[in-house]
Amino acid sequence: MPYDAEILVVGCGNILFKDDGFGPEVIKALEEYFKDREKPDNVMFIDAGTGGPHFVFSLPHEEWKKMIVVDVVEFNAEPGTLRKFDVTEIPKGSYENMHTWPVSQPLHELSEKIDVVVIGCKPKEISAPNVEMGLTPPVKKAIPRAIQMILDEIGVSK
Amino acid sequence: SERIVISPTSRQEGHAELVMEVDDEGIVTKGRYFSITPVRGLEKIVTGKAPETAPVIVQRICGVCPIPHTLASVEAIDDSLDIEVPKAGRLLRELTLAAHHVNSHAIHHFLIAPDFVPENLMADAINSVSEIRKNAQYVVDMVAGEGIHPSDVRIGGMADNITELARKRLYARLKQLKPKVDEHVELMIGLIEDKGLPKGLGVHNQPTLASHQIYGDRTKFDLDRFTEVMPESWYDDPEIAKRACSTIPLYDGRNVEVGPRARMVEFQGFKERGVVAQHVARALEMKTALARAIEILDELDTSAPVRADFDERGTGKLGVGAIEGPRGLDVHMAQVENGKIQFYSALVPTTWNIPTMGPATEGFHHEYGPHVIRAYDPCLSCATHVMVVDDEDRSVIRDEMVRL
Repeated sequence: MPYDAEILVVGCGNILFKDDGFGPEVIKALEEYFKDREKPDNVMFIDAGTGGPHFVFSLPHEEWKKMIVVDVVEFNAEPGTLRKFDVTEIPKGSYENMHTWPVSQPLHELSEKIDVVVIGCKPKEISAPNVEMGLTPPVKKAIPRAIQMILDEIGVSK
Repeated sequence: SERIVISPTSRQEGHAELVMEVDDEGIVTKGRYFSITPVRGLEKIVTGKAPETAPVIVQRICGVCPIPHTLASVEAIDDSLDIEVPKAGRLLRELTLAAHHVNSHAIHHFLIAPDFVPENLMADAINSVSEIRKNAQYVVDMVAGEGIHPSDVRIGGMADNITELARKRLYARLKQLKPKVDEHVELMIGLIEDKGLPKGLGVHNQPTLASHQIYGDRTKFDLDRFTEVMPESWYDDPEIAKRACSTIPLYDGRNVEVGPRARMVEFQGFKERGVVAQHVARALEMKTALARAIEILDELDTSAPVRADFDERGTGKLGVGAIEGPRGLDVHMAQVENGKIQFYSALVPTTWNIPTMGPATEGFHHEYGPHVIRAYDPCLSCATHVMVVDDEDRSVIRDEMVRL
């Protein structure tokens, strides 16, 4: 399936490692939210799992105008706190994938062409390398507000 | 006398070597079969990790039997944590395995097709294998989340029940598949029986071991009757003993046969022995497994809970998961304490068969050796538990370190 929408909401993370599953869980919740509401035609929701850097960010489509990345971000706040980040705030080395060839700063490059924002949630616990499925309570509680922030970004009023 | 070496043996999963000593007529007087597949070491990887790590990691032992390994893993941890899996969860697990049996046995028919299927029927036989596999894998995919490495088989049961719509669809689909499977089984059995393999080929006097007709039952696997010896004290040829990569598991002190024929002997009064009997049992088991899958889909309550709540801290109890994989009894053992896996061990189907397979080639011409080996549908990838320490002479590590 080509990612050929104007606005992409991309949930990143590994659902096997507790709060690292925040991005994919938000995508799931968004799909649930739009189950009986009309979703704008120009928006696409993508659960990118751990493949964001290689299979989404680095393969731009001419339709793209804006990308909203949803992920956990380490910053000085209480677990479950949400913040909108500009690409320039993302530390160097994020979104590099150790399993394949390095993609250096794919979001930075992308942001030169289209609008890129990151909706980041402060995690409580990332369990890697232990497989522990399910978000911690504060991060789970952040999902509805994350959806509101995403709706604001894509210009849909709740 | 002469020595015939086939290395690696072909049309099987993983790498193994068959060494046959033959007399002047080419008759095998001594057969030895052993694994030369590099060690996986997955048991070591999961030790010290959270319980949920184990099924996710150990199912990657191999892509041939991921379903049995996932199930044996969750069953071992269920047992260690004293979890009672709800009925619907147990049924979904069994359904997953039954569908996998159909798929996996069909793959084996693909592997043995050059031995039994004549040129003019080859395309039909291969298409039949593909058609059956497609449908069986569809069931695994729908029920367990993924066709190869299932994501939804979880400690305590299954991640989700299936919907009523899915149940009806799968039921209809498998009902529709039944005549296809019947026809396929009849074709394969006919070709195998008409091949004219020498009577008595592959017959041995070792006992069979099976815990259940389809799914597996930990209460039928008695740890006290199980012992394990190292290859160096099993193979009387020091060169082979040094290179063999699997331990030798024994039940009541004897090497055994596991797999479809063993299950039919233990649970259906099957009396036949040898290569043809093994192929026939495997083919017939496709029908048994399909019938069970249909039965489960008929009785499944899709509104019932499928997963139990549990306390993952654990008490250090040694849990046993016994699953009947397509190739035989797959036992995983796990000990969970303080929320982490303290001990993990996988005792897998082909490991049981390895010491029985070599001697089963004896008494017949060496050209039949590969037939005897293929009748076990060996899969070496998970059977390897010994590590090579010296790349120069390919010797494996010694007793005290082998139990990976």
